[in-house]
Amino acid sequence: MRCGKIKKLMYDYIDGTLTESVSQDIDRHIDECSKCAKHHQNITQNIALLKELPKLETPDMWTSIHEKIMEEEQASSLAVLWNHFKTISQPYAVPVASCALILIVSGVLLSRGMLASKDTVIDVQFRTTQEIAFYIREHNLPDNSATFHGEFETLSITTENGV
Amino acid sequence: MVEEHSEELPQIDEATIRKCQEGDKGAFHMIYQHFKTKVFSTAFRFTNNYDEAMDLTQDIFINIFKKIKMFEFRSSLSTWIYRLSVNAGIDRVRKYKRYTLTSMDHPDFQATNDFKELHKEHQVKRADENVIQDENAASTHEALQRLSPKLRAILILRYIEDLPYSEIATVLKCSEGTVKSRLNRAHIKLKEVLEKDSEVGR
Repeated sequence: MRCGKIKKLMYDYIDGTLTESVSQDIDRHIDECSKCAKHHQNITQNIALLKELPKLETPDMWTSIHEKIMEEEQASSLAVLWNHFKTISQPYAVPVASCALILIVSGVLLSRGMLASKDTVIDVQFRTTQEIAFYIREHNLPDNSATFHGEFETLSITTENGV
Repeated sequence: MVEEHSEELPQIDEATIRKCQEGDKGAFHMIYQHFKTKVFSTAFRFTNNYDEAMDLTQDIFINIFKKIKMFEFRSSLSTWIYRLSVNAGIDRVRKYKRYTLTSMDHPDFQATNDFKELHKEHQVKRADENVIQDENAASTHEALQRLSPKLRAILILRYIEDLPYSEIATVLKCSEGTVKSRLNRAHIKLKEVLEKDSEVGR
């Protein structure tokens, strides 16, 4: 027998599942071939070590496994409820969404209008920056209340709640 | 010695599995009782200590409960549970990058504290056993930790869990030929690691 064939049969040989004649052929080969003998020895030594590994005491883990499962079931039952809610509410989804949209848009528009009505825009014409600074100080306006409108001389001053 | 429970193990029949698939916790508890030792001893060899092994075992059982609906009776439940366990073990090793193929090439490779602790744990838990055997066990376990998770899996299934090649092939979803060739690689690697270790140890 050749080494390749021995390699293929090695595990069956070690397990003792080969017929006696094949097994004896391998015996003979291993006696003569140091490479296969070494391979065989390595495997049997490894197996001996692995088989020697102690059987372990199994700790009881049921309580925590059970707890975790219950927790996850609770979480997923909430998800089921939500999905259920989604399926029932599906036929109304479009009308509900459009109502909500209308509400939001009109709300925004209304509040903007109300805010705008509180503001006073004072359009004042100035010739120089000194004049602007003077005007701001004079009227006790916040420093950032002046905004440019195009050309240097034309400014509008916006204040909240009017001045 | 650890007592053998095999006679007391509740038998898992098809009805129990079906009940568990419907979410029956009692049925799941029976499955847990039946497989906890197998799952824990498999998980343990993918980790460095009892705590990690317990953590991994819990994750595996929760996963079993979640996925048992998908079990289609095409293999035995045992094979299916081994598959989930081994996959979880391989995942965990990859996630925590516990093994480094290069570490054994470093001359100053340190026998990590984890392994020493493991060794101690063995001594605490198995005070009746002789110390040499514990030392051997610790160094074998340590060597296993430095094999790639796939090679480790095959050694665990074959020599610790004693599964036949055909079942290993089903667990790992490969052919028996692949099982044997991978087993060969695993043996060569294990021998390398063990020899390197004994050189470093001296």
